[in-house]
Amino acid sequence: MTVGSHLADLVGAVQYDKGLVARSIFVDPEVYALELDRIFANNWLFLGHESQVAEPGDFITTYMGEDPIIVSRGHDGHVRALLNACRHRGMRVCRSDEGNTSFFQCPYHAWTYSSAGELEGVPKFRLGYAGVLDKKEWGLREVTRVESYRGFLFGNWAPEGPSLEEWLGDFTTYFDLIFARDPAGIEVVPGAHRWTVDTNWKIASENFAADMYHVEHSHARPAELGLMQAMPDEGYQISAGMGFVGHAFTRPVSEDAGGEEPLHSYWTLPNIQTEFLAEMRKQVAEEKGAALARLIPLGHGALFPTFAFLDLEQFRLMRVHHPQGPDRTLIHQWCVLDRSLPADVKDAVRKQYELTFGPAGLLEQDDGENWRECQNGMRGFIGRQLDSNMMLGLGLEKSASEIVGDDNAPGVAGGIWSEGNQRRFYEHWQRFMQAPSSAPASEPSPGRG
Amino acid sequence: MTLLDEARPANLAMLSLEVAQFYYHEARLLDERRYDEWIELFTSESTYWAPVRVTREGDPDRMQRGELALFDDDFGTLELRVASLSAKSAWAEIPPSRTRRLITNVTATESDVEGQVSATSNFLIFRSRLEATEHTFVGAREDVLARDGASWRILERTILLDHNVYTSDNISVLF
Ligand code: FES
Ligand SMILES: [Fe+2]
Repeated sequence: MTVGSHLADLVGAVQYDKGLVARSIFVDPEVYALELDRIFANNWLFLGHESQVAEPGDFITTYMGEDPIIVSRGHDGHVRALLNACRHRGMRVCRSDEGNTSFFQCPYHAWTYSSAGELEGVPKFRLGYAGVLDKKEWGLREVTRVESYRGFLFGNWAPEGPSLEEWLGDFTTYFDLIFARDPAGIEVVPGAHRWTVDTNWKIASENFAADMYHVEHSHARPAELGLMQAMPDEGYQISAGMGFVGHAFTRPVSEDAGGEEPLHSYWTLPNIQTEFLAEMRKQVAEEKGAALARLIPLGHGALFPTFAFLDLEQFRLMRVHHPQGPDRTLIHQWCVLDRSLPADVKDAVRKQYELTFGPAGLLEQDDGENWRECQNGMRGFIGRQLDSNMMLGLGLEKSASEIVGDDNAPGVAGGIWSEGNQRRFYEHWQRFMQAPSSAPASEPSPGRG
Repeated sequence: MTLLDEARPANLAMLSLEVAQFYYHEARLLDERRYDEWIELFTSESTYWAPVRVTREGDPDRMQRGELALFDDDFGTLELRVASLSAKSAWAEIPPSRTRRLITNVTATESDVEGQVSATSNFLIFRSRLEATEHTFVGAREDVLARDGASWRILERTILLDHNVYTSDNISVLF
C-alpha cells in the first residue's frame, strides 16, 4: 500500500516521545486500513496454546487482524495456521470454535481440504475441470510463519523479519516468569470469554500494556466492596524486547506466605495460590535469583500489538484484542492455570477470574463502559484533531535493572504512575506504520494448469 | 382415566402460572434495580451458573461444570455482584441502564423433593444505555425453586445464554 500524504501526516502526528498521541489514529478508517496491512499482516500475532490443539485433527479458530484463521494440528502432527476461506468462493470452511476433524469440507460446493489445508476433493473434477485443476496450488492459504515459544503459538504473514524469539527479545525473561514458572507448564480452562467492545483495539491493548493509572478510579467499585486495597505509590512498569510488561505491585499482604519473600497484591480476595506461588518463587530464585523471583506474580502487560495478560495471586488470564474496524474490538480471553496446582485450587482460581475479569466481572464491566466512551469522545470532527495526553511519568524512566535491583532484569522502567509503556506501544505502532509491510499481500493466483 | 389424572394437567397449569407470576415479580425487581429485594429470593445455599456457549464441532451442547462460565456463583459472590451494582463507582451502570425483561415459556414440574419444583423459562433482556447504546440478551433459565410461604426461593439457577460472542461491551445485568 502506498501511503498518501494525508495518511502519512496522521501517522506522523504521533509524538510519543513528547507524550502526545494524535486521536485520529483511533477513528480514521484509512489509518485502520493501513494497520491491517502494516501491523496485522506484519507482526507476530497470538494464535493459541499448543495444549488447545494437542491431538492430530484438533483445531481452534481465531483471527489475525480481521482474517479468520484455523489453527489445525494436521495428521502429520504439525501445527499450521490456515486462512479460513475456501479458495473457490471464499466461504469459511470451518464454522466452529474448536473440535477435531479429519478434513474441512466447504458447505458451498464441497471443496474438501485436509487438516493440513491441502485441497483433496473437488466435485466434478473430471467433468467440469477436465481433471487439470492443479489441486496443489489451491490449498487453503497457509500463514507464512507459525512459531511457538513455551507452547504459545504465534503466526506472522510476513516472510521476512525477526523470528518469534527475536521479536520477544529480552521480554522472554518476564514471559517465563508468567507462563513458564511451573516446570509442568500451563493449561487453559476449556471455553473462552468472547465479547466485543465498541472501541478501537489500541485503547484496549495500551490499557493492558500498563495502565495502572486507571485502576484507582476505574476500579473503585471493587475497592468500595473491600475487594481491593488503595493503590500503593510503590511499584513500576517495564518495557522490554519488542513486547511490554506493565508490572506493578504493592505492599505485602501475605506475610504468612511461607516463602522467603512475602507475596504482594493490591487485592484482598483470598490469595488462594499463595502456597503454590511461594514454592514457584523459591524454585525460580534458585535458578534466576531472588530479585527476579520476587516478580511472581508479574502483574498485567501486553505484547505488541494485541496479546495481553494479567497475572495476579488470585488468577491469571490471557487475551487477544482482535480489531473489527476502527471502532470495534473483539476480545478472546482465557483463564490460564499452572498445571501443578491442586484441583480444588484450580477451581477456586477459575472462579475468582470469572467473578472479576470475565465480561461480567466486577472489574471488567467498567473497562468496557469507559473504553466505549473514549471512542465516542474522539470520533467527532474536532475531537479527532486533538492529542491524547500520555505524559505521565515522562522523563522519569530508568533502566529496569536499576529499579528491580538485578542486572538480569532487562528493559526500561518507570514508576507505577507512568505511561512509559504506552509511549513505547505507540513508538512501535508508528515504526510499523511508517515502514512498508513485507507481507505478500497479493500473490498472483495460479492458472488452471 | 382417574380423577387424579384429570386433575394433573390443571394442577401443572396452575403451578406454571404461579411460578410465572413469581418470575414477573422477580423481573420487575431487577428492572427497577431493587437488588436488595432480589437477593432475598435466594438462600445461603443457592448457586447461580451461566456456562459459556462454545461452538464445538460435533458436540454443540456440551456444558460442563468446571469449564469456563460467565457466572459460577455461590450466594456470597452473588451478594457481591448485587452490592457492586449499587456501588457509587459502578461506572458501567452510572447512570443506570434502562432494562426490560421479558419472561416467557414458563414451565414448572414438581420435583421429587417435597416443596420443590423444577422450572424453566425463556428471557429476553433489553438494555438501553445513555443514548442509543442498546444491548439484547436472550436465553433460557433452568431453576430449582423451593416453596417459601406464598412465594418461592431460587435454590439453583442455570442460565443458558444463547450468545457465543457477547456484543455488549460488558455484562452488567443479572439474569
Ligand atoms: S465456496 Fe467453497 S466450494 Fe465453493
Ligand atoms: Fe481495567
